[in-house]
Amino acid sequence: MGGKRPVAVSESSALRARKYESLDPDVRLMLQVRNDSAAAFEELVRRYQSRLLTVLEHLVHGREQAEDLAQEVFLRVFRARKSYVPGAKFSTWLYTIANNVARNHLRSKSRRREVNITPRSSGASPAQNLDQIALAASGQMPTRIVDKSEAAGIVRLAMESLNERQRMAVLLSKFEGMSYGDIAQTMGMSPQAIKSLLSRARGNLKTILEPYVREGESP
Amino acid sequence: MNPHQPEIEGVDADELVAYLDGELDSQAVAQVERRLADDAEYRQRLQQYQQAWDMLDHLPYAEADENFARTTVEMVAVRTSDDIHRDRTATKVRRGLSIAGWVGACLAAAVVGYTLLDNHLSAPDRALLRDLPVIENVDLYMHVESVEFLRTLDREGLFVEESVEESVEEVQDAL
Repeated sequence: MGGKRPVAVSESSALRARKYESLDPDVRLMLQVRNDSAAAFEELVRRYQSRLLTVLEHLVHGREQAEDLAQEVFLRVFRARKSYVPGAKFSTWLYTIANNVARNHLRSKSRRREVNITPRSSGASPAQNLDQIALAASGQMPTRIVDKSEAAGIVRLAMESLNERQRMAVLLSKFEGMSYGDIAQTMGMSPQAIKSLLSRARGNLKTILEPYVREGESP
Repeated sequence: MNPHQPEIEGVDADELVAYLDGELDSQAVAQVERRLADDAEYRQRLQQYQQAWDMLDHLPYAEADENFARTTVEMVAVRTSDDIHRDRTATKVRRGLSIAGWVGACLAAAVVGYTLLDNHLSAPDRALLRDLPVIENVDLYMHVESVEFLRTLDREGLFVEESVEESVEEVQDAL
């Protein structure tokens, strides 16, 4: 009986691989990359470059760093091609690598104690902006109508107030439209943990953004 | 909005957010919708979650420039080529070390083998050399009954012999 289990596991893994191969065209491309097709790899890069950059840019706060990390992600994809077995949608596999790369980057950045100062159009520091946002959220500051660029700045700061995991889960949900199951697989957590994580993240965003939501924006 | 409005927290908030994300099963959906129909505050929370979520639409989407894919593929090609070169070098070094190890082991085995063989084969020869005087006179010794008797004769100088060369030298000195 004990000898049958690995066979069953490998059969289910093969079935899963066939399922994703038939459902996901990007999985089929990745299988071509596994067979050393440079054209298929370039096509995958073209398909995912902007999506990956969007998530990474909001995660690490900087275009240049996001580009470096995106290239690192694609390099890892290529290096892992020979051992690639479809066990999920290609995007889920790609963002699992991206999550690891981004987490390593943020960890080493925090070890170096770098101060990340992103230039803002308002000229105020992120801390000052967050203070203002917190004040607005407390209801002690009269709210006013904000324009679109200001709204973008406020939302960006609200995102920065989330911790790394919450931010990643929100980005995958919002920009990639991933299900809790896919986010869980990407981030190495359970779907139930993702449910709580996203609930806390959205609660935080609601608290911070509420004053701006209440008063509305100028068109 | 009433700032003193109590927050919906924990499981309720999780369910509300999961409902908005379309992650609840039909039974849970029915429960949330029943509560939404009866509870105005719950409805307001739902709306606030949704509005805050919609505000994330203000976050810009990044657009890769036209060279990004090309430079990425080139970078990957260069790094992969480096990897292959490094792997080949490492393989050569490993193979060289392996060959050197085998040669060293063979040499060591040869030296050890030679030493052991030499010791083993030389032992009888050394014994023969040591016993050569006895072997040369074994016929005489056969007639002697006691070793002690021989020792007595030796002490009295009976076995002192001069070599031919020494005798010749003595004769020449005398002349």
